[in-house]
Amino acid sequence: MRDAHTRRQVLKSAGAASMTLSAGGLLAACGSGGSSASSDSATTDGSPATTGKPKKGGELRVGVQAGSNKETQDAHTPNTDPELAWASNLYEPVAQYMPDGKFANVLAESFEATDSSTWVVKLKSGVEFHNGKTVTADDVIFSIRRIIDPKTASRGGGGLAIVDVKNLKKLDDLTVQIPLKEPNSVFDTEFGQYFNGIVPTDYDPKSPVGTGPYKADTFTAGQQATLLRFDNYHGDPGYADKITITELADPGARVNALLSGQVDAIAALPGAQVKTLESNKQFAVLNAETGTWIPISMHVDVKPLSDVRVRQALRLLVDRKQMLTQVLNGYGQLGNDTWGRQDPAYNTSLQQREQDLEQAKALLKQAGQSDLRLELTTSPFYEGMVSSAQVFIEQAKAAGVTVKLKQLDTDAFLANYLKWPFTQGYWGTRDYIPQAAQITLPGATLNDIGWNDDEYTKIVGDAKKELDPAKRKDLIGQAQQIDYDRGGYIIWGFANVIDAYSKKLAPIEPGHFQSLGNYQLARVGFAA
Amino acid sequence: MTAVTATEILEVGVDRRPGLAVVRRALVSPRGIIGLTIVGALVAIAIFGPVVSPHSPTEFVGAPNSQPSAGYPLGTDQLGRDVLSRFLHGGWSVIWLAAVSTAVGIAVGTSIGLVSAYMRNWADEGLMRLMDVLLAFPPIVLALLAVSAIGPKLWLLVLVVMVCNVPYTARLIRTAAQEVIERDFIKAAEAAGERPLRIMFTEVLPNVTGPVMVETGLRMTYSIAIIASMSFLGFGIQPPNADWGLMINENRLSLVVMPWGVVAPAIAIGLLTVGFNLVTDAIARASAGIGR
Amino acid sequence: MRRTVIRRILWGLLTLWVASLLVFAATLALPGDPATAILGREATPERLAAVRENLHLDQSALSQYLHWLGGVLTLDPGDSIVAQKPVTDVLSDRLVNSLWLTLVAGLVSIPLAIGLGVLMAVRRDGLTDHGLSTGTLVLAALPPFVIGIGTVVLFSTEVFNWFPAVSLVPPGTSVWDSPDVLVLPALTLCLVVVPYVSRVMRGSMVEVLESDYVTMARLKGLSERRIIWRHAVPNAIAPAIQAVALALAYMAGGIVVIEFVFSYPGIGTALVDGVRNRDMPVVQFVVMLIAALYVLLNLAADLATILVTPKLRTR
Repeated sequence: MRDAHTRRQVLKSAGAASMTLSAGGLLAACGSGGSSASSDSATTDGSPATTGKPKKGGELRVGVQAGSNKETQDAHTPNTDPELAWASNLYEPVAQYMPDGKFANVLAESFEATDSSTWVVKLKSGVEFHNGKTVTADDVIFSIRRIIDPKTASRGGGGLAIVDVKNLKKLDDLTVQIPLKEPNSVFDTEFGQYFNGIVPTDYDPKSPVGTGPYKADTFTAGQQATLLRFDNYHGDPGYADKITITELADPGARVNALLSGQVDAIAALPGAQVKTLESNKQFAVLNAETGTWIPISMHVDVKPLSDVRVRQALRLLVDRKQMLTQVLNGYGQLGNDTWGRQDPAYNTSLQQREQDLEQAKALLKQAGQSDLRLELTTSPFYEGMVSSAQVFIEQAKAAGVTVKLKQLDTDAFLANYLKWPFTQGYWGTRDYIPQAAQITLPGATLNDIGWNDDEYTKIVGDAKKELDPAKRKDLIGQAQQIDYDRGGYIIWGFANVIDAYSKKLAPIEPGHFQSLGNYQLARVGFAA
Repeated sequence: MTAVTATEILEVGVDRRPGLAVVRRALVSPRGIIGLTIVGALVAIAIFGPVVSPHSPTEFVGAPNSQPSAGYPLGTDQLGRDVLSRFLHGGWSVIWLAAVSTAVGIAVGTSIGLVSAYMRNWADEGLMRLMDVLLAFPPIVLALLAVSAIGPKLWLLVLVVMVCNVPYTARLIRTAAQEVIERDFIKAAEAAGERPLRIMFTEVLPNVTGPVMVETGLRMTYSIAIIASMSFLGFGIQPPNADWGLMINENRLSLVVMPWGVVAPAIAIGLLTVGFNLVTDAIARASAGIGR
Repeated sequence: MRRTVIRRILWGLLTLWVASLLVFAATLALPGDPATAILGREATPERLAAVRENLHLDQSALSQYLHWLGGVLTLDPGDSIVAQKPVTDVLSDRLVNSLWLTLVAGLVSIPLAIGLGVLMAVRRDGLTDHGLSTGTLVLAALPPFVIGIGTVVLFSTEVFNWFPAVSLVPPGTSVWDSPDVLVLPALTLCLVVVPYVSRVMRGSMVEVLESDYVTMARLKGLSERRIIWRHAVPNAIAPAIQAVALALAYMAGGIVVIEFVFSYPGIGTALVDGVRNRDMPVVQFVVMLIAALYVLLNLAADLATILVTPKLRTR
């Protein structure tokens, strides 16, 4: 559903000084170098991280989080954790963030701006699709069109909305010119996301064909998919001959599956289970600080949440430190009701909000809601959602707020996701603006708080066009001030991404974006 | 399924002795004593637990899944709440829900059984056939069907469990009552012109107290099992309330690292049902007169 | 006898029919509108109307009932709301898995139960009997899920690590490809069923052993073993058969909770998931299936008893 990587990375673009970039991806982001998000994601098992190279061969079995019965292997619409897992191995965008945090070309030989509103992609030659066809400029143009087509309901449609589709030009067999409707110097990171994979012109999502290191084998929606190594992959080939991705919605089932050897690695280990696995010499834990946030979403256009005093009261009653302890078992950082913790433009001058029950009660009284009753709709869609809901509900009692929990299965939850007035979400690491594009800007497809604020929209719009990083930072800071003062999210913290795997596998490099090294499973193999 | 079954009771016959003597005999037998002690202890925990509980069942006291320590003898659960406190609060719901369903079930079932036995005509046949239909569903399945339509409401659970209890009681009491009804003093009462209802409840009923008591014990075990199972499945008491069945499900994930969240309530439910069964068995044997 | 048999069969069918009314009534009790539940976000007035027509929601309750019943009888009970594919697709693998589980459990538990019952009866009032009696009493009292959790704690997590606590069966494969997932659920089912059946067997064996018939055989000087196996056991079989059928019937119901404990991919977990998601087509079909099984097994028990008990035959 939401994912993102963000890594701060300096990228040279024509006429611009260094800027921050962000890309879509799944969970996690650690800053590189001097970022405040530390790079201490570690493989914690007491032994130093070795760099033994894996051996070729074997079947890699991975247990992932809840999926849905409506899943597909479509390159442009991955929403659930399992869809992310296979999309990351079946398809590739022209460029994306790597596990080590650098934004690098994947299918592209070069991907640069020729002027502030025009970008050019030159593909590597000889890259093959799973069906043997060579990747050409036509495929890139087709993919862009498909992503923008509203019928595709793609993840990347919002980010590519500024593309001037009519004037997409094929310069030669391997080169595409992409004109934009307005200047944007971070377009490469908007386009270079895992959900913007390049597909062939005759693409049929039911017989998925991509350029990734693994090709599609079997698929049962809501349960399992298997992938086979693609031997003509243009990069370093994968180690495992076959990958089996099994959906295990119940964290207990996931942990049990790992412990009993039924899978070799699992995503999303609950914080409370970290010690169990760390104490077992046969397993290793990947624990990475990220910018993942699990908000409580309040619809600002529905009473009584439309009253900003009510929203602020709800934010003030939260004991954020307790949320970190009880929900994440300490593996996380405090949140301040806005996102983008690792974005250099993150507004650090905002005072860290703390629990203030007196103020919360006073605000509720002013709003005439001293006995507020609400219903919170959630789902065990991602690890941490339900437990944070339960802790929040308990904390709310102290302020006189009674919250009833309505827990739904993934399918039921997602079917009406944008309609629940008081609900939860799950977002991976993203810099401020790309995240806003998914939730709070006009055209956002996942606006779960009914946000429509002209002042905010103008500020962020200006920030997008602003080339001076200092001015940009200032504008983003203003946007975040609005989030802080009257936004619709309770962002109590940022969660680590924690996974676990059997030591039969060679050590996995932590990915800071998605589980298990960004789900770049071609890099995972059995220990030699 | 419960241990002592209707078949067994009927094989050994129905005792004519007044209720108290039977109970006294039952309580003195080894099974009776053990059973009562167990039941007594657990009911005491369930009722007085909340009073002596060191913390509230929903309070966060420490890191999740902490090992037992001085302040928290049974450790913490996966949200960081005190397992001991939740355990002490968790028995009450199981017991009162089971008690209510049993009590109402016995009342309704006994009445139906008495009426059926006395009427001994098409009404009898009809009532018993109705009981058969109710028995066409395994109780959990019937409860699940009801919940799927209406939602996990407590009153629904009590209703369904009661409905599942009634057929067993009705049949048993009917058989027991039939024997009593053949006797002379009943015929005398009829000849004297006493109204049927009066006969049923003042003449027949006191003579089937043995089976009624045995049934009560059986039904309690049965009800507790169903209610705990429904909570375990997530359709009984809802979180964040503490309930033994619910705790077992909630804490399953942490079994490997912190078993008490599962083991304590599981042992409690197990002992409760076994205790009731022992008492029931003791009463059944005492009812039978000479032991088999 | 034929009349009795026919009567019983008719009553069985009548029971089933009334059960179907009850099962169908559950849909009528649903709050909200099934069509909205299915379409969710994609609901537009036209699509809602189309779904309603498809599900015959616009017709009378009687008509809906007939339509549903027809579907059930022809094994075409419509589509699962959640999976958006036919209920039979969703359940077919699961039904097979549940049948395997019941078969394995039955093959082990029934002979064991009968044997234990005979043993307890033959050694009645002795130490063996008391021991086994108490043991079976304790086991019979425990709710099935407690027994299940007990086996997990004992054989999977705390004490031994022999068997998996959760049944992971890859889709498209059968449980026999991962046979160790069958062990603990089958063990639990056995522990649930054996106590009850063995106690009933004991009861009827005792009655037979103390009957005139057997006393006569003893007086004639026949060996004890011959008496037990040639004369006593066959006469005690009738209640045993009844108990066996009831045991199987109980497994049909008990399987729901036991499968849930182990996340075993059978119709039990399908039912629980269906209830959670309010997937009425699935719930109703599974409930009807289990009820039908239950009624049929009870009927079989009744008929078997009639056939085996001479005096009942002539009634």
